[in-house]
Amino acid sequence: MDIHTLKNIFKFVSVIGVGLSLFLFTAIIVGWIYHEDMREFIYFDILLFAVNAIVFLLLRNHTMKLSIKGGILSVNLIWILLGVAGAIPLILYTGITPADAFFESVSGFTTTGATVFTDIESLPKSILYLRSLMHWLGGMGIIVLGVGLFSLINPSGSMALFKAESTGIKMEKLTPKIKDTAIRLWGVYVLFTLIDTIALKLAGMNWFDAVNHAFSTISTGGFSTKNASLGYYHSNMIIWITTFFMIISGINFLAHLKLFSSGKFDGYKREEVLWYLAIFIVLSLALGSIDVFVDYDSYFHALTHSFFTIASVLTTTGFATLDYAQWGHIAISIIFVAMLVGGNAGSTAGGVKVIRYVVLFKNIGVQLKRTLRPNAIVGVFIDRQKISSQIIASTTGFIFLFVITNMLVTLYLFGRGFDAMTAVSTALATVGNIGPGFALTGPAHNYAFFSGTDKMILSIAMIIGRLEFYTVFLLFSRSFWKKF
Amino acid sequence: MDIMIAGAGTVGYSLAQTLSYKHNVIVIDKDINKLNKLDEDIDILILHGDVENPKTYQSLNFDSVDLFIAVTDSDEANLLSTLIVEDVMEVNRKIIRLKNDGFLKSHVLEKLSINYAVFPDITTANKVKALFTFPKANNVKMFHQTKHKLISIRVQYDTQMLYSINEFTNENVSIVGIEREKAFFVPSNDERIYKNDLVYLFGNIEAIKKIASKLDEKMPSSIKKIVIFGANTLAQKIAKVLLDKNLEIKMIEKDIDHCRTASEVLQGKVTIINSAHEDQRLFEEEGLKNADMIIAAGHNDEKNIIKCIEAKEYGVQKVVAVNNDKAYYNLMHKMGVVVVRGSKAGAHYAILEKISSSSIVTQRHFCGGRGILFMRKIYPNSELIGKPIKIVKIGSSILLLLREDKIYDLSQIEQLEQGDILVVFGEFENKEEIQQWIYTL
Repeated sequence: MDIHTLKNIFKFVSVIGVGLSLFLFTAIIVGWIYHEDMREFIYFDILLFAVNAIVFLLLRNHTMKLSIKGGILSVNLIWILLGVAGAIPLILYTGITPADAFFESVSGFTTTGATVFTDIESLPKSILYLRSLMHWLGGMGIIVLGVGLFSLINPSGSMALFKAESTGIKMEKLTPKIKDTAIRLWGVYVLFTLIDTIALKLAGMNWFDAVNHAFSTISTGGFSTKNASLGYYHSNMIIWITTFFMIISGINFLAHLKLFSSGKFDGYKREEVLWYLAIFIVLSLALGSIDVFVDYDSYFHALTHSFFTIASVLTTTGFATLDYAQWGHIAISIIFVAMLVGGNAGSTAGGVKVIRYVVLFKNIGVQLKRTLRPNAIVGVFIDRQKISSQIIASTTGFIFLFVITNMLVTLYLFGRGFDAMTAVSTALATVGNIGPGFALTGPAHNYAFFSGTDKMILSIAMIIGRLEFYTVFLLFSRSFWKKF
Repeated sequence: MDIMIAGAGTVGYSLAQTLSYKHNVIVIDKDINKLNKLDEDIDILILHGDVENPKTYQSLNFDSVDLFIAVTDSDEANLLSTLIVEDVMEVNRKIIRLKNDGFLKSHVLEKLSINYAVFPDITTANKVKALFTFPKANNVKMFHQTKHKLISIRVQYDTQMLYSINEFTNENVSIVGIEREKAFFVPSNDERIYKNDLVYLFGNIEAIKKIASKLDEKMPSSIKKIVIFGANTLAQKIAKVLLDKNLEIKMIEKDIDHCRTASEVLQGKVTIINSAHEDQRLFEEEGLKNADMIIAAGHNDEKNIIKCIEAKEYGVQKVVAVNNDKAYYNLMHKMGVVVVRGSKAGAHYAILEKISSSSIVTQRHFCGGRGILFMRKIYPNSELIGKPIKIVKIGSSILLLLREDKIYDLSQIEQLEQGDILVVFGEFENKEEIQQWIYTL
């Protein structure tokens, strides 16, 4: 690697580092409001700021021009460093091991929402806030934010960075400058967070819980400030508000942006959104009926919790109101379907994402047609546009990588001696950035019992899932490192 | 500025690339593959659709654009699109690229309220023509504010003696740029001139000619016999502007249809040879090696370069290649090939210079875009008249003043007078600073 690429990466990382230190400062303010001893946090934040600021100042005259390789390297590096930076305050204030802290921090930034803490309510408020803040920053993408705020990190407006961090097949622009689109996306994100906060407050939460849950909901993360997650509040209002915001956060944010900037609903009239909503409703009704038939629950109660649970799992948030693992095998199967689907491309949700299933199912249809009529000219059409064979190939590749990664994590966990259900569901819950799995990692449990090595492997699995496989796996290809 | 570009071809692409650094650019094209390529490389908004279809523009959420540039391959599409876009949104300025020079003298452009039209083929043909007035020149640039010209000359003398810049600089001429071994720089006064340098001289024609005869002892000072490779529309236009120069011109072209149209257009005043299969032998049989100058004016940059190198091998002194790709610039200079901007590169620079120039300041590029010059004329009602100038040091830039056709160093001037022309030569890296200075004197 030449010095120019190194300088690019250092400058890029330092800009994000300075930005992060400013955001972490809000956690200090929270601690200060609740009269917590914030000295160590302040030292850490100042150190983080100073180191990055010095690196940035040293490289201030260096003009950044990230190549595709440089972009991919930087994004990988930043996500690992985010995990490290977020872990330090956790170590300082809760005394957990570095592996635990890294896991928790990565789980935060990747919006997975799996926790190692058994008693969340005993944590200092500043740390609770920090966990939600990590969700919130990671949800829309730290690089999307960086590009929006600092034009210097992406002067040529290259799409490479977005591709590397993106949560979808294609990042579409609504404005000529990618910076403007990025900043507007964050605008919508902030707006949703504000509305959700106010709604939760009106529904009976205190301001602190409202802010934290809004951060966690809009980013589809899943960290709560309560041990019983949202079940603590026993409020149907809070459950429905959260269901609504989880579902809209699982929709492509460009669709929301279109609505806000031009008042048009076109963005929602897409096959992906329609399928997503259809899957949501069908699975929720199915789960609700099971609850009614098995537990003899009231319809309203059953549907409140089934809609909430499916929304939570489908959007890969991972909140819980009840221990849905106890609803029986059919219920678990239904929830598993939701775990496998995920949200929309371009949303804050993780998972495989609906659009990929739409592409692949349509492709299967096309293949069947082709077998029956070998001379027919056929193609995959989505939203009246033909999908190129290159996109179909990359989608197939994505699914393959998703399966392989899940399989490896499952086999590892199974080999470590956990039961099959725990192994399979935990792999899916981490790679898909969902959070809770089943059995030992079910909604009523946490990840504390895993060993340090397990946690490191699961952390990497979360990053791989968040960056959608290709970005991380590229690092392992020989041609990435070859000069020629 | 919001800029809309119709056409994502070579010119559209290069304009979008340059303009996207400072402006919001939208590019429209029918070809989704070209657009996707643009979208990958450059920070712009792409719009897939037919530029001649009003619906295309309606799908955008723009009420107005500051500038509309039509650079598709078709004159008709370009003309029509300027009309259609204005029906959908407010357009402040319109720039268009045209191939058919018939429009040059028609009122169509005025009727369509097009602010500026580029005829790149004619510009290229005129550049070639200028090389005949100054046979030793590599490139000639003219300005509408002054009769002074910017001319580049390749240094070719046998003596070991080295000239220094200040031996040549006087009130009639100034050396404003040197290209030496791939690098371009604006020289200081004590810089020496080496063999094979490409020297940029600004000033009065006679003075430049005098220096040229000292710097270049090899190039013939008159050109009579010319070979043009290619008989496409551009080659025809080049031949046409050369007709009144009383020269012997031969055109060589593989495509028989091009040959036939060329013959009609040039009314048999030029020898046109169809060379379907025996390009090599022509150098011998047609006596091409005795030509004073060859001009490779084909559409393919690479073939043009090869033709020039071939001609050099046969001993032709002056070889000119029409080129659209800046990437070959250094290579061609190294080979001693004179580069003339082709229609695509010509259109790119002409449009760019028009956009960045205003009614008071003109901006031009030279030496493949690595050198930059700004010109500002002091008009009768200018508030700068009678005022002293604050002189700044911007890199190695040279600040000159033209007063009654004499060149002065700006530091010699106490205050500005009516009719003065400020001229700044600089390296491309200093563009922003020079621009800042000359606009806010």
